Amino acid sequence: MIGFLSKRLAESVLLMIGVLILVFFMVRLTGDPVSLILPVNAPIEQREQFREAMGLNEPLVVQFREFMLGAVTGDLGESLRLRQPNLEIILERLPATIELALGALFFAVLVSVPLGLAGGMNPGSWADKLSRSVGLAGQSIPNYWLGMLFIVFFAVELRWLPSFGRDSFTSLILPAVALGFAGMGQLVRLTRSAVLEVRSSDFVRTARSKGLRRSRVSGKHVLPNVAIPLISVLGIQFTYLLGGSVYIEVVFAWPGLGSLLEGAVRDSDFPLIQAITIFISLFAISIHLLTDLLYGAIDPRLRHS
Amino acid sequence: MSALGAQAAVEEIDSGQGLFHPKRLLRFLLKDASGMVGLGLLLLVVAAAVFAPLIAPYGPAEGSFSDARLPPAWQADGTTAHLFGTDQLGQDLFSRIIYGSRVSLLVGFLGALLAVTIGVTLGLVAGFFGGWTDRVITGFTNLLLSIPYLVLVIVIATILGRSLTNVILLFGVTGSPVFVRVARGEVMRLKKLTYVEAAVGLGAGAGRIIPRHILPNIVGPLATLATFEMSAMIFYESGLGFLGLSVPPDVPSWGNMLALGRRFLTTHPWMAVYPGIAIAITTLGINLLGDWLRDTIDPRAKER
Amino acid sequence: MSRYVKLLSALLVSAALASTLFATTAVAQESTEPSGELVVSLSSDPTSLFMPRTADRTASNTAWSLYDSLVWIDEDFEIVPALATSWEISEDGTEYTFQLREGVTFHNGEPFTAESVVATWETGMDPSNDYANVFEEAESVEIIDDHTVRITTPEPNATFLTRLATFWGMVPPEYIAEVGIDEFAQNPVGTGPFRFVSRTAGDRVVMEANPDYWDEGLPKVERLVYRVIPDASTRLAAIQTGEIDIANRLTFDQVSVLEGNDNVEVVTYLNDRAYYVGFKNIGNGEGSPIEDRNVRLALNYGLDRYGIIQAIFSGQAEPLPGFVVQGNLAYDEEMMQPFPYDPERAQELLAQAGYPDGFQIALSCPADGYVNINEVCLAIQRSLADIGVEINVDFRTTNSFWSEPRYGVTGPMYVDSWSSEIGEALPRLQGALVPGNYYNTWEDERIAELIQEIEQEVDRKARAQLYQEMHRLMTEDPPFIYLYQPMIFEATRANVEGYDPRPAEEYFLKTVSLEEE
Repeated sequence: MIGFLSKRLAESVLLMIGVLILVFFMVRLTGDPVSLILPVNAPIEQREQFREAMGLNEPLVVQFREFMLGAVTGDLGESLRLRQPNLEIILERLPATIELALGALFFAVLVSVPLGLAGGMNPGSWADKLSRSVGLAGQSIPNYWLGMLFIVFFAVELRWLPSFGRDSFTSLILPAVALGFAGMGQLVRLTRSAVLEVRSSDFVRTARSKGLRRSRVSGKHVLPNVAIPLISVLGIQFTYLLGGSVYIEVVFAWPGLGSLLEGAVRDSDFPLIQAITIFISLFAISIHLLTDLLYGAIDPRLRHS
Repeated sequence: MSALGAQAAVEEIDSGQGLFHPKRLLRFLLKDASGMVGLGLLLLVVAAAVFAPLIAPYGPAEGSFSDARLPPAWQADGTTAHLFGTDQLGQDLFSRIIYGSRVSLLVGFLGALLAVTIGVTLGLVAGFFGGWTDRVITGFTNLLLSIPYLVLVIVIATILGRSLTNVILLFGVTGSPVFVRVARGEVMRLKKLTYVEAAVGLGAGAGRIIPRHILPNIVGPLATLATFEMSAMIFYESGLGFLGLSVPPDVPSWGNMLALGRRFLTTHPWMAVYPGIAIAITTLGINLLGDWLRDTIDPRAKER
Repeated sequence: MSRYVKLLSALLVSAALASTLFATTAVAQESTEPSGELVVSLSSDPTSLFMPRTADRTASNTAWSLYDSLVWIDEDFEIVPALATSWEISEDGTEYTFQLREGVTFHNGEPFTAESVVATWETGMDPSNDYANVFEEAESVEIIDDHTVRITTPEPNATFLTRLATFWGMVPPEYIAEVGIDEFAQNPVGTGPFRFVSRTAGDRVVMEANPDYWDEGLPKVERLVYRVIPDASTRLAAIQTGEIDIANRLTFDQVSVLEGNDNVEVVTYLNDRAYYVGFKNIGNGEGSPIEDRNVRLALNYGLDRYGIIQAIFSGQAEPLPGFVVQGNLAYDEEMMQPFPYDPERAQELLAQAGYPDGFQIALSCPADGYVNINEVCLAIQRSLADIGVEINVDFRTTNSFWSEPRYGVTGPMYVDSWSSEIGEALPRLQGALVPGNYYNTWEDERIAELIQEIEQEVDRKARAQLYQEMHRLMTEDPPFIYLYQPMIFEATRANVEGYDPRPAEEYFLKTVSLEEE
C-alpha cells in the first residue's frame, strides 16, 4: 500500500512540474500583450515603462526562474489587467466553479446512473434504448447551445428560474443541468457497460443459479460492484467539468474560473491565462490522485498489482 | 469529451465487457441498425462535402446586401431561392451549410488522422523500445492528459491564432495521447505473448514485428477511437467558434456560423438553428458509427 | 406540465401583488431620500475601480460612481464646477488655479483639500497605471492654500480640463498613502455619490448612497448593484425578466424583440466612434496604389457603405462623413455629407490613377475586435470587388493586430475605429494622424500641422473653425475610407428615470431614480 501510495504521489509531483514548464513556454510563445492593455493613446515611452514595470523585459531564462520559484511558493504572478495576484483572483472564483461542477455531476449521476443500470440490466429493452439515446444526445448537442435555449425558455418565457448569476440555489439549476448534459452521455455508457460486465461475472451467475430473485441480485451483488469503477469515472468527470464549464459560465454569467478564463483570453491577459491553466491542471492532478487512492483503498487488487 | 470520451472508450475496450449476454445477438442486430443509420448520416455529410458545388445553389461567399437576413423558404417573407434563409451578408445559409461540411469533415478527418499518426508512432516507439524513450513519451502523454482538455485547447488556440491549419494541428496534437496509450499498451501486452517473444528470439526486428504482429491487433480499437475523436473534433470546432478561436471568420465553418447566428437567436433563429442541426447530425452519425464499430470489430470480442 | 405552469403563475401573481403593496408603502415616505435598489449590467468585469487603471469604458463607468473630479462635463459638453467651485486660466493658457469646494469629506471621513489634488496627481502618474500619461499632462500641482491649487501644463492644452474631468477622480491622501494603490483599488474611497460596499470578482460590485454627498438631493437610489453579464443574449434575457434595471451593449436585433414590452424601454443613441479603413503610406504601404489620391477617392466612392449599413446593421448606423461625427463640436450636416456611392465615378478615378482594371491589396481585420467587424470586413471585400479592387482579407487576432507600433504587421489597409469621450474629434485625429504615434500610419504634413493648431486653440469657436477646415482637408485628400458611425442600443426597465448615457457610452447614475412600477 505504501509503495503504491508513494509511487502515485511521486508521479503526480512530476506531472505538476511538467505542467509548470509546459505552460510557461507555451504562453511565452505568443506576442506582446501590452498594446491590448494600455489605452489607445498611450505613447511609446509609456508602453516601454509598463513593460519594464511588469517584468516583461527580462531575459526568458530569468523570467522562467522567477516563475518557477514563484510557483513553488504559491505565487502565480500578477494579472496584467486586474493588477492583482493571480492566485487570489483564482481562489476567489474557485468556489463558484466547484459548485457548478458538483451541481452538474449531481444532475448527470441522477439521470444517468439509473438509466445506465436499467439499460444494463435489460439490454435491448426500451430502457436500454432510452439510455443510449440520452447518451448520444449528450454527446451531440453543444452545451452552450442548450444553455441559451434554457434561458429563453425557462427564464424568459416561463419565468421559473433566474436567467443568470449566482444568487441562490435556484440560479444553479439551469447552468448545472446544461453543463451536466454532456457528462450524462459518458456516465450512462459506463454505468451500462459496468453493469453488463458484473452481470456476466461468475458470482452473479452463481447467485442467479441459486435462484435468487432479480431485484435481490441487482441490489446485493451488482450495485456494489458497479460502484467501484464509477468512482474513478466520477473523478475524471469532475475534473472535466471543472475545465469544461467555460461556455456555460459565459452564457449564464456564472462568476467562476471558466468565465475568468474566457475574459483573460479576450483581454490577452497571458499571466492570468497561464495561472488558470496551471491551477486547474494541478487541481485535476490532485483529484485524480485522490480518486486513485480511494479506489486503491476500496479495491485491494490494485494495491498489490 | 475528446480526451475523456476516448479514455472511457479505451477502458471499455480494455475490459471488453458485455459480450456474453444471452440477448447479445439481438443487441447486435439493433446496433447494426443504428450503425447503418450512423453510416448513412455520415455518407450524407461526406456527399455534401464532395459534391458541394453541385448541390449548393450559391457559392459560400455569394450574395447581395439587399438579400440580408431573409427567413427560410417556408416562412412568410421567405423565398424558395434561399431554402434556409440568408445571413447578414445576404449569403445563402443552405449553401454555406453544405460548404461548411467540407471544413468540419476536414478538421475532423485530418485532425483524427494526425492524432492517430502521432499517437500510434509515439506509442509504438515507446512500447517497443521501453526504457527512457518510453518514460519520456509516457510522461509527455500524461502531461497533456493532465491538463483538462478544453482548457488545453483554448490556451493553444489562443496562442496559435486563427487558421485552418492551426485548428487541425491543435486537434491532432491534443488528440494524440489516447492513441499513444492504446498503441503502447498493445505493444506491451503482445510483447509478453509467446509468439512475439519467439519472433524476437528468432531475430525479428521492430520493422518486421510491428506490421506483422502489432498493427493488425490494434486496428480495431484505433478505428473506433478515431471515430469518436473525429466527432469530438467537429464538436469542439464549433465550441472554439463560440469563443472566436476557430478558423478565420471568412471560412464557412459551422462553428463560425453558429457563433455569428448566436447573436440573432431571438430575432433570426434560423441563422443559428441550421448550423447547430448540421453539427448535431454529423456528430450523431459518427458516434453511432463508432458505437457499432466498437461492438463489432473489437478484436478481443472475437478472441473470446 | 400545464398544471405546474398555472400553479407557478398563481404564485408569481401573488408575489407580484405583495411586492407592489410593499413598494407603495416604501416610496410614500420621503421622496427626496434615496430609495430603491438599481441593478445595472456590465459587459465585462471592471479591470479596476481606481480611475487611472480603468482600462475600458465599463470599468470607468463603474468607478465614476465613487468619485468626483474638480470639474464636470455637462450634457452639452460644457465644463462646469464640481469639487472646484471656480477656476482661472492664465493668459498664456498654461496655469489653472482652482478654488476648491469646502466642507466636502471622503467616504472614510478625510476632508477634501488641496492635498487631495496633489495625491490624485501623484498616484495617477504611477507607471503601472493604464492612464499614467493623462496625469503626466500636468507639469506640476502646487498647493496655494488648503482650498486653492494651481496646476501647470507645459503648453496650452485645449483638452486639459476635459481630461481632468474624465480621469482625475479625487482620492483621499492619507488613506491611499497608507494602503497603497493595489489595496486602494480593492477598497476604493472617493467623495462621489456612492460609496463602495463590496465586490465579488466576475460577479458584482455593490455600492450604497453617500448620505453626505455635497450635491444636494443626489444620488436618488439607495443601493447600486453592478452585475457582470458578458453575454449580450443573457443581458437581454435579464432585462426582460426584470432581474436587472439597465442593460447595455445590446444589438438592434435584440432590442427589436423588446418592442411592445411595456415593462422595458429601449434607449438608442449615436456613438461617438468612427469606423474607417486606414491606409499606410509608411512601411508596407509605401509604393502601393493607395498612395495615389485618386485611388483613395475611388475607394471612398466605390464602397457601398449604405448597403453595408443596411445589411449588417439593419440600417441602424450612420454613414461616416469624416472624423468629425454627428454630435461633435463643429459638426455641420450641410457641409459634412458622406461620400455618395458612385461606382462609375470610382472606376473613372481608378482609370485616371492608372488602374483601369483595379488592383489587388491586403486588408487586415481585428477578428472579433468590435461588434460585427468580421462581417464588415467581408462586406468591404465584396463591395470593392465590384469596382475591380480585389481585397485579400487578413483576419488577425486582436493581440497581433495591435501588437506592433504603427500597425507594423498589418496592411497596407486595415479596419479600425476610434472613439472620443470629449465631444470633439481631437483624440482620434491625434491618435491616427500625428506622425510617429503608436497608431499612426498616414503621414500628411498639412493635417499634422492643423492638429497642432487645434490642440493649442483654447477657444471653442476658433477650434470649431479649425475642425471644419480639417474636414475639408480630409475629404479632398482622404487618409481613410470612411465607413460608419454606429448606434448604441440599451434598455431600461420602464420605471427607471433619468438614465442619460452620453455618445461615448458614458453614463452617470447619480441622477437615476426608480419610480413605482
